[in-house]
Amino acid sequence: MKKIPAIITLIILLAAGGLTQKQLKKNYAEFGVFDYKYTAEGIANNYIDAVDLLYIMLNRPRFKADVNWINFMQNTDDIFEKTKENVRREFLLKTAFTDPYFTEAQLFGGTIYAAYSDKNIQTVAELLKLTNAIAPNSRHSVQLTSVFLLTSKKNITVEEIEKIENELLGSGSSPIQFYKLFRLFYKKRNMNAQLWRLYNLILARDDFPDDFKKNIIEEMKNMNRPE
Amino acid sequence: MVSAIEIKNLSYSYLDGIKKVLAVNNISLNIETNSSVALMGINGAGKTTLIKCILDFLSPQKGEISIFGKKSVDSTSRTELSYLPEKVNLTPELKLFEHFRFLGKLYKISNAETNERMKKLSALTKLENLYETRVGKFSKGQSQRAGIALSLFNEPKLLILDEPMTGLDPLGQKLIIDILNELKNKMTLFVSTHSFEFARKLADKIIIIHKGAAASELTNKKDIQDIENNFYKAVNIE
Amino acid sequence: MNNIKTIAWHTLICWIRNKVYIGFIAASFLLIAFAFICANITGLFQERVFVDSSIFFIELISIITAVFICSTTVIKDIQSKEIYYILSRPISKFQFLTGRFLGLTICVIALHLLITALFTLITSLYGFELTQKMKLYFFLVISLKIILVCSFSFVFSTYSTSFFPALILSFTLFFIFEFSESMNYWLTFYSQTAVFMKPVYNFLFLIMPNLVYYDIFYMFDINKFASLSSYTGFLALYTFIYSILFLIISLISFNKRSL
Repeated sequence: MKKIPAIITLIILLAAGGLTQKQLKKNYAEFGVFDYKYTAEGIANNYIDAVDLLYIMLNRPRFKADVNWINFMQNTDDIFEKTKENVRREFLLKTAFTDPYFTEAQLFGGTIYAAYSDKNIQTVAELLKLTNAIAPNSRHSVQLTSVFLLTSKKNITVEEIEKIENELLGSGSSPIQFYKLFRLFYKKRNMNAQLWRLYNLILARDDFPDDFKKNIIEEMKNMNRPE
Repeated sequence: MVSAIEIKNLSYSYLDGIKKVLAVNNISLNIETNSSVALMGINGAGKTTLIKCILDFLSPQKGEISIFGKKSVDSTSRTELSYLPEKVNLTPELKLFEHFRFLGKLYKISNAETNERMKKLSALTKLENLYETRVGKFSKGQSQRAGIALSLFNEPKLLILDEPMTGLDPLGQKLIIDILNELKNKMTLFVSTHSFEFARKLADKIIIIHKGAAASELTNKKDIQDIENNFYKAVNIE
Repeated sequence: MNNIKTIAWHTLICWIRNKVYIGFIAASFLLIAFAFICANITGLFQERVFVDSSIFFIELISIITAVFICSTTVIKDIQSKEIYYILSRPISKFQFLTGRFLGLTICVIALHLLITALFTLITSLYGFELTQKMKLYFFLVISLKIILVCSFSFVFSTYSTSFFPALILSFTLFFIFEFSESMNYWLTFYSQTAVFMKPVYNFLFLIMPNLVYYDIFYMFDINKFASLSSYTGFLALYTFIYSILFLIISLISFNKRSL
């Protein structure tokens, strides 16, 4: 192959490649662009590590976020285990900041985290900040706000609680974690009437595990039925 | 009549570290059609390099090579040529009949014709029972014979062989000599060899190269019969 | 054209029977099984985890296979001297290289098709919400990525004299092209970068192949794919341009090489 025609061909191809890339960039922007500013915040606050960053730079944040989520779930179980609280916090924030658009993880993870934490609910606040930054006043941020209020406000009134309960459980198809959150909250505050109502809502659901329902029934047998 | 191979002022050199090595030094040769030519020389004389230049595996810095009047850089010049390297390395994952099919497709020969040639050549090289065997499982002798069979597939007018006897047992060597004797006046043979006996039996002309240059060319029968003395005389020339 | 097809067929048959290739197929099935296990242990978001993991593994194994077989093929031919058997026939170096490249690309895409079919079967069996259109575009877009990765890995096969450097160089180039979007972001927005270097970086990243355009399934809501057909069209053109470019570089490199 002769030198000069080959070089000219290569230059033409590079130019064509560059022009095509410009068009592709416009089309690509329609799908939405992954914003590195959340990555920068994640690094600054030590939420994400080098491995998370590597996956983000390799355009695989969803996969790594899923791996972090699996680790979070593996450290969360039905026994209210407090010793793994730091680990849970670490993985939940890693999940959220690796893929900030994984808003369901922020919501459910925040709920689970709040349910299994005795004190430190700062993680929910951090997640709330992130969710509001991406989609202010979205369904997720409202629900996360509710979780935050529920778990942080000491002098919360009964009306406020009922409003939040309606918000989180009103659809009748909310996940089990929300019911567990309220169960924990009502038990700690000795709010029997609300607990009894909650248990009836749980028993009315066909899709909850039988073990869980059996525990609820046992507890109800030992409770005083409210008037 | 067009020569089978015509080489004019061929030179090829390569870099060994920073040192430049002149492997082929201004060689000019003429191999007539239907002749049998043996190429001889000590190890490192440049025999294999010369053959590689002829087959366009190497690009010489100077000179021209023609095969049946066509320039060697033109791939169509190899249509009537076949090459058997010193060590036959066929694709091990393919079965023997698949090798024939592959060549049939390359030379645009029909499947029926390919099968016929395959049967004939397998019988000639005693490989009839090995059609369905992967070539990777062949012994060295079987591989060499398969190489010969495949090199004759396209019924070439020029057959180039690079030390075809290397590593063969006496039976294998006899088979090759018998086949080449049969082909001797039907096609041009250009054979690189270390064997005086082989050259004496087969060649009409012997070219001795030394340090990349054509040191001697033996064309008459008397010189060919006295090949040993002529060889030692040629390679002692500085 | 006949010679190119013949060489492509030859390449395909050789690699399909190669133990390394069969190993890659086995590994791909294991990875899908692993993705399935991950989905089962996740508690919530099983569909998301299975789809994300499978997409990641499918792409991973396809790219590794592409790099491995494309960056080593011609080196293997030369080291084993099989190349003499082929190039002593009436085949030009261009036909040989093009045929080899075509055969290798078909080989890797066949692996990709196999594993995508398995993924599709599992998503259908478990009722995961992934439309046929999505699966088709996933297959097409990753196939285009495979073609581009095959082309630049092939360059090192014609240039290097041994396997290890060819593999390392191919993977290095892969990571550079994969990282290019984020590198472009950090270099051009980072305050410490010299002002005069920013246009240089912008130009370099513009002419360099950028693999981020093939990664559309990773960051976005899976329902946002209204204009995929025109996007895929441009992506195919982009792939074609750079593949031809790398094939020309391979040819130049191979022509200079002593066999």
